[in-house]
Amino acid sequence: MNQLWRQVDQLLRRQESALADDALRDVRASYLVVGIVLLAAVYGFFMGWYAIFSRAVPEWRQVAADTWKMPTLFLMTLVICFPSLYVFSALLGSRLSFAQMLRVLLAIVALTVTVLASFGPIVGFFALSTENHPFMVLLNVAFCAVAGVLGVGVLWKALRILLAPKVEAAGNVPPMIQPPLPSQSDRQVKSLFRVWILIYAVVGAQMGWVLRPFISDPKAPFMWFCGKEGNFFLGVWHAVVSVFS
Amino acid sequence: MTSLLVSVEEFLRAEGLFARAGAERSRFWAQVRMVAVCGAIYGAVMGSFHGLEGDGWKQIALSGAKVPVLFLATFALCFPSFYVLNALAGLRDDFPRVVNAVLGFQSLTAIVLAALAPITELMNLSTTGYSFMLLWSGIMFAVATVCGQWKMNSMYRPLIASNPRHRPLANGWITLYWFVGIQMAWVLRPFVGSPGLPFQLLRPQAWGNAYVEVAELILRVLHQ
Repeated sequence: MNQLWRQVDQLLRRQESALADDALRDVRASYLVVGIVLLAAVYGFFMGWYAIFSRAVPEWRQVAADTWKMPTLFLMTLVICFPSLYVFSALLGSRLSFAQMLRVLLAIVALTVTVLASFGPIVGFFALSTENHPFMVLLNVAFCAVAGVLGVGVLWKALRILLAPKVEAAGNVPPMIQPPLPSQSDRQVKSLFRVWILIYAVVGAQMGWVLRPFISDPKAPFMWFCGKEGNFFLGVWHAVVSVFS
Repeated sequence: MTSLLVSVEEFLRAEGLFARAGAERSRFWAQVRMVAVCGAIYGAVMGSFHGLEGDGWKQIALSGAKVPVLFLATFALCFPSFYVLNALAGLRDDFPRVVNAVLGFQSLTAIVLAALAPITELMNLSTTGYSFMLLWSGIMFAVATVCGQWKMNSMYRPLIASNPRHRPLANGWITLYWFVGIQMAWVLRPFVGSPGLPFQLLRPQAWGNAYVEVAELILRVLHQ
């Protein structure tokens, strides 16, 4: 347990340098997975509070649902994306090995859910004091967006450090020490980054759609899932069409 | 299985077997294996749209077989004429490397499709719309094909550098391959399986011609 927190703490404080080649070897994938499950569950737990306080009869099942849905969302998205992320990374000439890539991605997800979990108590407080359903939805979307943007930012820096080390930094290093990975141009790193974000966003969005509802409408009865209908993209499309009609 | 993953890795990064000189023959068989296995993975996922109820498994098995057939049969059909064209252009000695390069297209397309298969399966499990899934697979094929074309170009580059006559031949291969491939895909329909129709090996009107159909469609629209 101690080890686990040390790992998360390292990630938070040293961010991308904790992900640079040497330090990456100390990152333990299994610890990160446990950390992701726990931290995402914390956020899900607070997310579910709204169903307790907004309803006449508290709906505890929504708390249970959100507590397992959040870790599932993050881990399943990663599992489903991983093959494509790996193939595109190899194709774009990145030298990241399978294990390295797994650690980097797990670390980024761990970082994202750490930020998210830290927002948990605030979400809980608002759930306690707010009746308005759309407001709660927007609040959660905003927090997820902040956590996502921070995670993506660190991913970008980590990829740059791993794949395209700065030339001037090489001046301080004795010439005998070869950089561990042949460096890539900034452009290559950028296209790899874009492809990754695109794939991850598409899968994450659909995964979130599958796991709906996270914050159920207090007027509607509780349900575990909304049932098999449509998909994220059609949902957005219908919303856009209904705005103009 | 491990050796397949190793050759996929070496193929993607163009190292090991795919960097060694004079290993054209083993490269060829490694590529054929990649196309067969990876294509089958995506095909099976594409065919699993209707789940396992009733005859569901038949569609899964059939689509799993159809995608490798689509790639490899098209390749086999175009191969003889391409060989003759190369020999005529005086490029007979480079031919083993040329075959590796053109098969690079199918190999990469199949690998990218297999990598996208989990995402397609997620869509399958969470969507009810047949037309959406057709469109989705269309987009996946388009993405994979663009990657395949890019890989073929990069494998052809050293050949073109050594002899510029390879350039028109590479373009000729692509034209020929698409011309035959589109008809092959038309003959092999259905890949996903329309929900309204019973399970069928091929569509009853399978032996039509894709180009004639499209021309008739255009004429019909113009005559309305």
